[in-house]
Amino acid sequence: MLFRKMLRDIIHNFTQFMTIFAMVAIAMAVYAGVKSYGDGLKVSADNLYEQQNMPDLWLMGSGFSEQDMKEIRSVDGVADAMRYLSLSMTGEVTYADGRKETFSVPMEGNFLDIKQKTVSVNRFVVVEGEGYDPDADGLWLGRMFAQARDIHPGDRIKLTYEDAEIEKEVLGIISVPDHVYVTQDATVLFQEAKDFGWVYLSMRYFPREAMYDKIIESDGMQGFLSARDSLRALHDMGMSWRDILVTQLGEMDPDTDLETALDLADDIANETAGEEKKHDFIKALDPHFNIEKAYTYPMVCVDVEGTAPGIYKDNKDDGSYDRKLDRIKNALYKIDVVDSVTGRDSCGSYVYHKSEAEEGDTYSGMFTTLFLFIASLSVVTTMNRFVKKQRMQIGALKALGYRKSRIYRHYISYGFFVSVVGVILGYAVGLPTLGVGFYNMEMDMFDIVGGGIYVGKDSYIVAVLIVLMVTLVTYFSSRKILSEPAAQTLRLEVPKIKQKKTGERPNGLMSRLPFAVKWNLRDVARSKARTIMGIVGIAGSALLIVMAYGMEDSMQHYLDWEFTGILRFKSRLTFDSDITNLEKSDLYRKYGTATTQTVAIEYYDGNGMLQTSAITVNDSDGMIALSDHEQGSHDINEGIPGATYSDITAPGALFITEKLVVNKHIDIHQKLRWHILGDDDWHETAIAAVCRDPQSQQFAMTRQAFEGLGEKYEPDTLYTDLDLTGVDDEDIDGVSAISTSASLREQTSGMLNMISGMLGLFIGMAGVLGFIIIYNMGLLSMNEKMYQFSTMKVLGFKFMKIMRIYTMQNVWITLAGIAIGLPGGFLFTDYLFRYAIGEDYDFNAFIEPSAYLIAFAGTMAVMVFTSIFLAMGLRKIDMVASLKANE
Amino acid sequence: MADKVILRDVSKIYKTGETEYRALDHVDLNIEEGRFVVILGPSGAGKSTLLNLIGGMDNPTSGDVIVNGENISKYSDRKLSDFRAHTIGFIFQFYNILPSLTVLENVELVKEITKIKVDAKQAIRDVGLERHFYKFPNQMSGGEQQRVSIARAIAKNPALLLCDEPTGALDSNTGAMILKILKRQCDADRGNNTVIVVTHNALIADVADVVIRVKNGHIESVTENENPMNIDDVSW
Repeated sequence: MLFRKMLRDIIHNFTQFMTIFAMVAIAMAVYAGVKSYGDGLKVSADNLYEQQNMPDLWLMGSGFSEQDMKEIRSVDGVADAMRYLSLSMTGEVTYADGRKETFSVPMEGNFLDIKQKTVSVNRFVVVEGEGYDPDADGLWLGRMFAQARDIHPGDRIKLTYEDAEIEKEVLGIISVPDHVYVTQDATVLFQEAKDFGWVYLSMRYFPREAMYDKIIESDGMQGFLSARDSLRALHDMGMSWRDILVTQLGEMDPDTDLETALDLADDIANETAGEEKKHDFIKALDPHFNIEKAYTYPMVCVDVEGTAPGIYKDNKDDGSYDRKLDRIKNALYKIDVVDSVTGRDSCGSYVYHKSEAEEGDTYSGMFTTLFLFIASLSVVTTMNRFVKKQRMQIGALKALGYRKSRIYRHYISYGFFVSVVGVILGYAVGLPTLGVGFYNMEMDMFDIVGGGIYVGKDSYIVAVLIVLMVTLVTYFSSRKILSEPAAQTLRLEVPKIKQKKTGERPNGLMSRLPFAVKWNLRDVARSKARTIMGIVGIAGSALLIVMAYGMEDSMQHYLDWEFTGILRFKSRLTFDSDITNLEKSDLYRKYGTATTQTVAIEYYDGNGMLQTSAITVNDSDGMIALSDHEQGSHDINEGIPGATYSDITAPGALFITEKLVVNKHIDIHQKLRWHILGDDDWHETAIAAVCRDPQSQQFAMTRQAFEGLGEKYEPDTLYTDLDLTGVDDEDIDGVSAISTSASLREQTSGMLNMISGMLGLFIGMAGVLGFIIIYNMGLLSMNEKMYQFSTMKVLGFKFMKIMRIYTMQNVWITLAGIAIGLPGGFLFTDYLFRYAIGEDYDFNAFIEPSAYLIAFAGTMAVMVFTSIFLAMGLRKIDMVASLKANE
Repeated sequence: MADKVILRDVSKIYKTGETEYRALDHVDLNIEEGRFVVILGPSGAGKSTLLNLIGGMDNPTSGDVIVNGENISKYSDRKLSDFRAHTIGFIFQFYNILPSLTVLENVELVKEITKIKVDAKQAIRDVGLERHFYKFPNQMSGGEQQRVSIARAIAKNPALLLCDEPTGALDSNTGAMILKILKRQCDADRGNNTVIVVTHNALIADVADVVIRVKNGHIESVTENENPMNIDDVSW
């Protein structure tokens, strides 16, 4: 019976209960959706990393031999290791179905140890085709690129490295743990999947001719070629090959076949020899030559025993993994050939994905807290008023003999059922829309096979807490009335006799105020909960509008800062790794001498932990400017305010970005201990100045300071004022990539738009919530004042006058809400940018006045519209019924 | 004396879904100026509907309501507001005074809507609340609140004072006091105002000039009371 009463009461008070329901459902949908996508990113990646044995460490060196590998594998704690060669290549696709579409794109070619029978570290997830087989004549292609280009097993890819070509059939489409997010190179901020691919194949299929060329380019071979005519002359003079070998080429193998070598030498020198002749030539000079031994593997990926802690918080360990890793790193550094050892926190794919996944926590935490706070205020006010309206019915139930506990259960059930249904609907809507939607959006960028959203126990806890909160509010709302004796409950509530309060003194200023002001001031003072709810609701709405527009402004400001203040070039040319001095000179003549060199370093942070970073040695004539704290731009050679010329040019003087100082707890007054990766010489140098960079946190140095350390400045990038849009890097010798400032800006803008779109959706939902709150507050306010307005109307107050009185209070509340919401919007946006978008970014909110104006006007418009809409009801008010209802 | 209120063939029908309820059925009535009129009848007889139509709080379904020679049944909402502001004083069973305003401010409320000169303090003195000018309603008893309501109604000295169960929520002594105040409004020195009181209480009929009995939406009888009793003589 009481259940039916509850259902009918809910229907009769539809708007109020609908508000609670909508609040709960929206808050739950946002939390469940955002949390499930963020956790889904983490858990899916954790599973992939764990199941496919993602490397824990990566080693770099000049070349790892089989003996080196044995040494590495013997280090205590190392479970497995795999050596490989990774090269930047270009690829051309030929479709098996005869499609004529042809394109050439940059590709990363990964050549696995020829001895490797199976991929044991960084294992493939085979999406299509067959698994890895070192003897199978083909390659395995990354899934994102394959999907973007509609490539399947059976299609063929021609890989080009320098002058060597290798064409292979695609045998499998794969995904690997350390290629969840890849970019063509560091200059690309947001990689379009169709523009860059990667492949794995056995070293067996490495273009041998390129290998032969490398060997022939060696000093010994070149020396022999230079001496070929004189050697032939000696033989023509009657000297035997053996004597020539012993007397002229004393250190060579006695089995060397000089005759064959000299037969082939002209073709080799004139570059007319084919692969076979090159092989025979090398073999003639080095009878023990084995191509497999000549292969160079400069990289090794290492699997450490045990399970690495996952990104998802339930899977964290107590630090023992880090300690073990440090111990293994130290042991590995003792192996001669090892130049650098880096962990997952230096793996671009891992770091970028982790940072993106953790953004979800900030969003879900911030938005859900905001929603729930506003929702709880609304629930408190609505339930309080509802129970008060039910006073007589509570009295009647008591009089009929219902026990207090039964009546409690009945009233608690209103909040309980409404919130339970709201929570379930929130889940049902939030997971497939926000959760799956955002997850899929992220999967445009990340390659995680078989993953999906994940609903962790946090979501269930929040759901229970929401239901508990609403139920408790209902309990506390009914407790006071239920504690009264039945007879008292059946009487009208006796208003408390209150003492005069400040602000209610009828003499003084208050008595001189106009009637409408006086009436509204006192009404506000008497309805504190409703007023606070209104102010908070409106503050929330204004805040969200400021955020929506503020984010757009802030991103625009960031783009201006980065691409106008810091990157002042029109085009950037990245040098080939084997650029010759002649090519460099040619480039300087054509495009100027503004250059930088980036060197990878290791350094000890403020906590004594070894970290990996980079120093940009800047000789760019201001084309790569440094930004001070206030975002003012400076040429590095002019320094940053506060640092003298001698400070910044002292040997090894470092510039460090502000956020790196904070993130790595670096004491800028202490010297920093660092070394260039691959170089055993450690430096301890002073930090000359602190600068800011909105999108990469690292070090910089003047050329003079770098050379002062005895290091040789070898620029890898050149900057020019010329716009090289449309110029192909293949047309310029010695250049591997050309990017223009405009294209970089476009890439960054595209990446930020995705974040912006995601947040825009939250804000849209929050806007709906704000509107519901404003409407609910207006409705409550109107209901409570209805009999007073009816009295006024009976007394002869005209509709417009009553509407003005009603609207006046709403305007005050709106202004108070806006006064809180506008700065709040700035602070929230600032928080979001400072803490939610990754450690590498350093930018804060920059909001144009127009955003505040829009928020002000928008909120006022909603409030005025709602006030007028609700006040229109006063025109047709049944004065008698309204006054009777109050009786 | 001239007729202050004339009702000609007035009907008021309320509709709830398909159900029709005839609250007043072809009522004809004349009330003269300066009379103290009591309308008696059981619950649902149509007393309050009659009062609301006379006071311009509601419009008849058919017929004419003429007050002070003006047919108010054709008035717009705006004109009705003016009419109530200038001509009518209302007193309700549950006072309907504004809780956010002090006694004095509640009575001065009239100044907000009319240009009638109001001596609010005198009106409050007239109802014996001179020590309570600055109190708020929730600091007063029910009888005191009803006197505030009367003070608000009489402050503008309305030609027509309409009272719906004004003593219904009060004890007998306070009720008698209220009736005295109301009756005084009909005196010549007060402007020969007309006071109409709707009540269940038949004892009040003894002090009235005219007693109108209403039943089932019809005027059952209109009785002239030749010798109205003194309020103090009525045994409650």
